[in-house]
Amino acid sequence: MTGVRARLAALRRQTDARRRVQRLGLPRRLTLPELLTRAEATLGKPIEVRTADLPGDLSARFIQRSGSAVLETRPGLSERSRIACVLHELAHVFLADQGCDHQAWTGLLSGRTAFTRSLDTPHEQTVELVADQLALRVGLLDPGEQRRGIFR
Amino acid sequence: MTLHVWGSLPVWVLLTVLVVRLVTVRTQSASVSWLMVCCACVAVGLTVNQDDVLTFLAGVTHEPNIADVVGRCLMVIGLFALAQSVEAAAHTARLLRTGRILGCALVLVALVVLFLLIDAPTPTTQFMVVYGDQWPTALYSAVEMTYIAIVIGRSARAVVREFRSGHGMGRIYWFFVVGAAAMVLLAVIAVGLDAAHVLGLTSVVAVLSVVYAPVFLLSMVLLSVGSAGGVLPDAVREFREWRDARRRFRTLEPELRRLQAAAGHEGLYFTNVWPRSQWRARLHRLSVEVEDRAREAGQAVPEAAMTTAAHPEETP
Repeated sequence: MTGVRARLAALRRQTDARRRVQRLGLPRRLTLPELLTRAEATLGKPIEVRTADLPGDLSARFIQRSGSAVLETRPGLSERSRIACVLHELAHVFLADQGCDHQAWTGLLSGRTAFTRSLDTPHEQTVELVADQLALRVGLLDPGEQRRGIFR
Repeated sequence: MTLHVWGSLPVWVLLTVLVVRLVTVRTQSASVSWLMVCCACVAVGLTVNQDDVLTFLAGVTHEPNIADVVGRCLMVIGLFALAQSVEAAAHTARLLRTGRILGCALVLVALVVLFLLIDAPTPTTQFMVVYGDQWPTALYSAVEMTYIAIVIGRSARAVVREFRSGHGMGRIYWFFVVGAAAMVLLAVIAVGLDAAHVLGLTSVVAVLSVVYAPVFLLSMVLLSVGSAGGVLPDAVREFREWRDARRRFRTLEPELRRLQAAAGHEGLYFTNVWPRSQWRARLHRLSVEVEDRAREAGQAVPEAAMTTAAHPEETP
């Protein structure tokens, strides 16, 4: 019974993430740069995506400044992981996350809001599920040789 | 078998391939899903007008030639689905176009109304030959064929546009374009036949009837081959990749459990619900989490996780 409840709860979370992305009104297919542009419009400021050495085992973080934002991913990630990280941080933007789950970072980056990619809170898990939905839109899950098009 | 049943054979073949793909791999784009609806409607629409089915439907409905109007309505719905299939492939697809839905609905209503106006007391699979001298019959056929010609013409134009935009469409799609041209020609012949029949121009009817059969069969074969051009190679590749993904699940799941224990973190992979159709999303999550946990545990990422390459069109 517990297993069934857990599956139903997981299914609810996944459905919720899918609906959240549907509500964003994004095109069914768009490129990652196009998604980034959408995120910039949502945030109201440009987002610079870059690779940077990050402390500990942190894979990505998102730092807001007054006039711009920086999305950093650690070096050495596979391309799939790197894009998953970028999508996770953009998901924070699309979910209009005002606060920060990681107080330590807020303290460190005084006057800024920082999000980091982890799955240690229910909200971060939701963000990751939203990121997976975004991955579908940007073609991250597409097969390599497939060309989209008519009858394909 | 009637001419239309012969013409339905390539469509049945294509439909079979699509069904096998759906049952085994469970993945297909909206464009292919609509193509499947199109094939199903067209195949049944062409097959329904034969003696056994005609007699059965006539017995059930007490309408001697109901099979003919059912077949034509299915053809119209099938062509609507074809237009949707082409639309679904567009970068910004709009599948709920009021004009398109209304157009299809109006054609269906017109077909039913005109059919009811035809005096056709005896069941026949040669409906147009037997009752084609009545003006409602001529209009009935002309409405259907005009709709088919417009939709197929627009679809072919979209395919040609894709060619011109250099999206790497295979040459086999030209079969679709040529097939569509043949179908438009067929519509012209059919409308000409309808008019000649009503006007009593028997010599014209005789000439056009001879041309009708080969043009019809040619167009059905070409359209099916052209549509299959994208579908068949994709079906084979999807099946291979799905099989490969299943092997990776078996390899990587124990690895992920081991790495989770070493890292002291759990992800979403084992809590998420994975319908079979979402095997690509599942493989993506598995690969990402294996890499995350390996990094957290300070261990090397297993080879099998790194070989699931990502292929987005553009990246920042």
